[in-house]
This record gives sequence, structure tokens and C-alpha cells, in this order.
Amino acid sequence: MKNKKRLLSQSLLHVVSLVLLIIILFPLLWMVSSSLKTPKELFSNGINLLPKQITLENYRFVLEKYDFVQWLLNSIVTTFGIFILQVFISLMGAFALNYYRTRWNRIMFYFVLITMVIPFQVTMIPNYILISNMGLVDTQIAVILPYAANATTFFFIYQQVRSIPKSYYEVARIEGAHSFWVFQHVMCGLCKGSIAAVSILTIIDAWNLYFWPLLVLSSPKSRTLTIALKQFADYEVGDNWGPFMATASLASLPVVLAYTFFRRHIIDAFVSSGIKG
Amino acid sequence: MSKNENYTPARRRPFSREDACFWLWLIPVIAAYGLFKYWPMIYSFILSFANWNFISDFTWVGFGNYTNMFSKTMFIKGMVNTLKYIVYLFPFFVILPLLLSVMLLNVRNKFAQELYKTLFFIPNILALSIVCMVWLWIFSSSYGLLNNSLTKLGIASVNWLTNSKTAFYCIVAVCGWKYLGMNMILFIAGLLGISQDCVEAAYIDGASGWQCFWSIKMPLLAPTTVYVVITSVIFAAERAFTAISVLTSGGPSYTTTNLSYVIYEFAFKYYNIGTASAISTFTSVFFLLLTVIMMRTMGGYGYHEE
Repeated sequence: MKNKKRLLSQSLLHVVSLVLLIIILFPLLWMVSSSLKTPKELFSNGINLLPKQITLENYRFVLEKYDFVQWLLNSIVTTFGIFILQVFISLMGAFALNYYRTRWNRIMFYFVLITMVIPFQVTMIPNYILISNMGLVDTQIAVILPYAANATTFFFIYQQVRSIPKSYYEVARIEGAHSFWVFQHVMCGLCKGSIAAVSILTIIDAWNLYFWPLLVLSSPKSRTLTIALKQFADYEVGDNWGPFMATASLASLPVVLAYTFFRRHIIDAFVSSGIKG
Repeated sequence: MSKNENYTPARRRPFSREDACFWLWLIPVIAAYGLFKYWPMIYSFILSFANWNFISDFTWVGFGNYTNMFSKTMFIKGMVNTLKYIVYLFPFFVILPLLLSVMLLNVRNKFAQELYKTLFFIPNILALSIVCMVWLWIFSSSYGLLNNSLTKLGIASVNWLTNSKTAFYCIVAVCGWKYLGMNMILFIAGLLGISQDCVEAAYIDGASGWQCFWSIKMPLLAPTTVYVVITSVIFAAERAFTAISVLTSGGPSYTTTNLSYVIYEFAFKYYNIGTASAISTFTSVFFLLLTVIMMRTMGGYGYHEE
């Protein structure tokens, strides 16, 4: 009796999850499946996720006709730049606030954390003016610089670093270790897993940046993938939905891969850091 | 700090070596946040007292921008919609993820559970701008999937994104869809972090599943819940931005615009930097106040550094 009830509730759970999954994954599946369809099938009024005739024509079109490789390179450069700057600065901040004990710790913590509340659009105009005064408009550096400061990344890393027992630092201090050594071997060493997780999340976010690059990148040569897709959608899409979907699928592929490889880390890092009070 | 703190208190010199090292390590942080967060906030506060369009000369107008701002329909609509987004996105950002996380943790088959977890998170990692364009196709009035299937079912098609009654809900649906998984993972992490001893003790004492969830797990989950609620409220505005700009451009008659988008429109469409900056300042103060209020009311569980 009890077994039967359990079986029933379990299968109900699976059914609900699967239905929700189909709804949630539908746009993604649609994107991939339309990139594999022929133009004729693409515009037939049906909803079939499985193309009748799979074609890679759209992908060939994109790789031949557009600057796909250039866009990809631009995306990689900006993503990498943002990742290095953002994670490194957050690590240094988290280290200073945990390793040293001064009366400024609390104030500096809030100095950083408060900026989490401010929407990006608030700082957008002055940032634009700043970047253009530096003469950086239309370069990848312009995209990277403002993202050096990201309080969410900082907060996540800070939470992780805080869970390291203070006695480790003390031992290092008594042994006369230099703070660089402690930074590298104690803090980064102990938080390796969670740093990996936060790095992946940072990389995914940086890859997907849309609005700021749209403002500062103007020439076709410097576009990142997301921006190129936007231009594509605005000016050329007409009957090129197939190639568009192919580009969109290609642009999403790296993040999906990165996520699938590191998903354990990500979930584990959330569990271990916990959002603890 | 808890029991781990047994440092000798810092010497009472005004500026010790400890202080010096502390500030040295913080130089990059101060540089980055000062230059790209604080300076822009100060600068836009200054700009809010001027009339400027990127090229013309500055003319100082005092509080003119602030008084003018309230007579612009766009701004008023943006403000109201920001609140509306917060309220309408709340179920997607907090309630649904909580339900989903509880549901997934009850799936016994470990492989299936892992798979669901992974797949529910997928929308989160895709670029919102890209998936919005896919949604654009789904919602499109002439060749959209939604209308196609509705016509097949014999229901009249709707201009989802250009109808002032439906456009707002489309944006909410897309944003909710996109960010559901993130908070779900946070809740799962929180629930897994709860010590099993408490839960078992409750069961032994004869608590039902529901009682156990409501009186044991929910209170223990409070830090996660507070974090999720606060970030959901303060990010609602920012998260909606991309969807608004790709799907509706704030239209039909400002029904989908929000404060972030209003700032963008004033700055880069009308080149009215003064008004845009005034709205920026208003938005900063608005969100800061909102956060302070939330922290205070949920204080018992909230963030204490200690």
C-alpha cells in the first residue's frame, strides 16, 4: 500500500517536472531546430520541433558570408578580460577584508556591497562619457573596464572566503608568511572549487553582455556575438531567420558547454558557501 | 565574528602597519568601484542640475530637471511599472523556484534529479538578448508560433507585443522564464544545507511532512529566502531591461517601460542628459531606500556581518 502510494507520487513528480521542462526548454529547442531546417519548412505554419529534413546549409551560410570568426574572437577577448579583472579584484577585496583587522573593514564591505543595489543604467551615462574621454570607444577595453566592479561577484567570493577559519591566517602570520603567500596558498588554495564556480558564472555573464557593448561598440569589426546578432536581427533578418538561428545556436554553444562541464562545481559552491547570515 | 576571533587587538597607533597593508590590498577595489560606480553616481548627480545634450554647452538649471521630471508621462509610467514588475515578477523569482526546489529534492531517482536540476537552469546561462529574439518570433503577430497555434485551436490571434494589455505580461513571462532557475538552485542549495538532524528529530516527534516543511525547514531556510527576496526585488528593474529593449522598446504607450529604460531613452534617444541624470539619481535613492527598508523589516534573518 505504502509502496504503491510512493510510486504514484514519484511518477506524478516526474510528469510535472517533464511538462515544466518542455515549456522551459521550448525556446531553446526551437532555436536549434529551426537552425537545421530548410527555408521552406521554416516558414510553414507548423510547430514541429523535429525538422523533416536536416540541413547544415544555414551554418555554412553564416560561416561563409559573415565575419563570424571575428565576432567570436571579440567575444572571447571581452569575456576573458572581464573575467580576469572582475574575479581578481573581488579576490583581493575579499582577502583584505578577511585577513586584516582594522576599524575600516565594515565600512569598506558596505562601500562595495551598496553598489549592488544601483542599476547599471544609473551609471551608464557618466561611464560612457568617461570611456569616450579616455578615447576608448569602439575598443574591447571599453567593454571590459566598467565590469571590473561587480558587487555580486565580490559578495559571492567574500562569503566563501569568510568560511575559512581565522586560525589558518594566524598560523601563517606567526610563521612569518608574506601576505601574498597567504593570498595565493591559503585563500585561493582553500577556495579553489568555489572560485572555479564563480569564474564560470562570471564568464557566462560576460559572454552574454548585451547592453553596454551595444552602446560602446559601433563598427562592425569590433562587435561581439550578441551585438552582431542584434544587428543581424534588426537589419538583415527578413527571410534569413535560418542563418540567424544558426548564429544564435553557435553563440550559445560555448556557455552551454561550459555550464555542462562545471555544473557540479556551481551547485556545490552554492551549497557550501550557502547564503549564510 | 564567532569563536575564531582571538586576535590580539590592534595596537592603538593611529595608522598601523596592518592598516597600511589593508589599504594596499584594497587599492584595486577602490580604483574600480570608485571610478566606475561612485564617480558615475556623483557625476550624474552633478549633471542632473544641468541642461546638456553631449555637445552643447552646459547650462545650469538648478532643480529644474527634478521638477520637470514629474510632469513627464514616461517617467511616471516608468516608476509605476518598476513597482509593477517587482510585484509581478515576485512569484517567478521567489515562489515558483521554492516550489520547484522542494519538488526536485523529492525526486528519488538521483540521476533524474540531477538532470532536472541541470536542465531547469539552462535558460539562465543563455544570453537574454538572444533568447529574446527567439521569443520575438514566438510572440510575433503575423508568423508567431503562439498565434499560429491559437489559430489552429480556433482562437483569434492577439498582437502580443503591440497590444497594451498583453505586452507587459509578455515581458514578465520572458524575465520570469529566464531567471527562474537561478533562484531555484539557491533554494536547493539552502535546503541541502539544512542539517538532517533537525528534520529527523521532527519526524520522530510525529510531525507531518507539511508541518516539518513549514516549521522546521522554512525558518532554517530564512537566510536564503531573504537573499533571494532582496535580490529579486532590486534586480527586477535591471533584469527586465534587456527584454524591454529587444521585445517592445518600452512601447505600446509606455506600458512596458521601467525606470532603467526611461533613463536610457532620455539619454540616448532624446539626448536629454539633464533629465536622464535626474531620473538616475532618483532611481539610485529609490533602490537604496527600498533595500534599507527590506533589510530592516527582514532584519532578524538578514545579513549581519557578525
